[in-house]
Amino acid sequence: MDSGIQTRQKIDIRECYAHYGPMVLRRCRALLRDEEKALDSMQEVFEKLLLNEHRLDGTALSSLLYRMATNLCLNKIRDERNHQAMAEEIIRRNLPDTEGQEYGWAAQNLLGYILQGGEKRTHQIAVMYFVDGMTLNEIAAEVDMSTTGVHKRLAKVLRVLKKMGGQ
Amino acid sequence: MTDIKISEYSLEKFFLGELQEGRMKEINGLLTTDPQLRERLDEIKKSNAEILAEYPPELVASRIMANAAKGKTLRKSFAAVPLSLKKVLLASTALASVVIVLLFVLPQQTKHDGDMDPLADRRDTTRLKGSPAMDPTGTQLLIHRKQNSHVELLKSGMRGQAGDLLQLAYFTAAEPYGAILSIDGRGHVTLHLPETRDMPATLALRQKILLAHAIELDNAPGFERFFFITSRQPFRLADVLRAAENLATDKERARREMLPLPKTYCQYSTIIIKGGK
Repeated sequence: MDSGIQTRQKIDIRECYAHYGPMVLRRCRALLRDEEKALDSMQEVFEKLLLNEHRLDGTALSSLLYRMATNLCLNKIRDERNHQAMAEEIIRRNLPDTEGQEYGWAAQNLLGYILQGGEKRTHQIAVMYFVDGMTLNEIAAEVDMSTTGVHKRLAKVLRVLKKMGGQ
Repeated sequence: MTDIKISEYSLEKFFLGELQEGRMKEINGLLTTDPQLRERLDEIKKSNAEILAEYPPELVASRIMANAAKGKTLRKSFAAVPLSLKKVLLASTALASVVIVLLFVLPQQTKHDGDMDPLADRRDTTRLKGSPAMDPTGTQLLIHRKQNSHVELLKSGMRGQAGDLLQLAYFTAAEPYGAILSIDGRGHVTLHLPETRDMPATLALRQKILLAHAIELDNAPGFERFFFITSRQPFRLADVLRAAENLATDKERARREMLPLPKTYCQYSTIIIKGGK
């Protein structure tokens, strides 16, 4: 297993990409389901990292990059909501592996929910839970909230998704 | 097999060695008993190798750096760039004509081996004086000077004076990273490429590239010596600037010697001697 790259010094972007790039690209592919867009988004994540390297605090980068990739992809999906056909295509193609899972129906409605707008952090939490299968504790650590806070937000999302899916 | 669900996110962090210690141990333990988890981890390894083969770090890193540099340039105020030489925006009419000539006339003349366009004398535009000396096979720093309606390519050791308008350009066949700077007779170091001091410029290969700004020689005495530093590998721009500042402390050495840098760097220099012509 590789050891993480710490960020006390200026980032060597080649080394950073070689270490974390595949993880970021997989994340973008999973959310966007389009190789070209995923590749663009992956590069954009590292560009943002470079432009903000003075703000890094010396912690390992995997969590930050994963979160940045998630946010960037969700923003792209939201930005495309005005293009109805494209949005429908994304919804149709996305999250195809959720049938049979406990909240498969919720995941299927999730993009529709995200396209409706609302709070970005809640979207992020919902994706982590319904798509990534992360536990409440993992999500709480990632978004810097209490487990109870995460639970409350998810309960609210579930209510909306149920309405959308006629559950 | 185990019923404990390990998310992709946790597995990615485990692979990178960035999970908390307790969680690392837990997943390590599960890997010995859960073949599906082992398969998922092997998939990550395989996917990593495929992605890095398809999108090599060298290529992707250079694109990321180029795009990030563009982003910075757009956000950075022109007035905020500290210079001892005066940079001049290309939008001015006089310089726009220089650029038009450099972009369109010079390549044509290079192609036709010095043949002059028969219509050139009848055009109300800037013409080239002297033969273009660009060698398309090697790395070069090109310095053009606009004088009245002429543009000439300066050779090292030629004379210049305060107020001369210079347009820098480079050509490189192989080294994708670089910087252009100059040291003047007062010991000032000016960075011309890239615009910011964070990282080296990503160079376009096998094309003559004009810098985004022309420069005007100031009244620093003695000389203005330009250095084009290139490398096949990304490098720390701060090291190059430090080497230039070190050399600039001794005027005589700054006129004659190259920057004290390791051999992994390639260096090209052109000196303009100040005063009279």
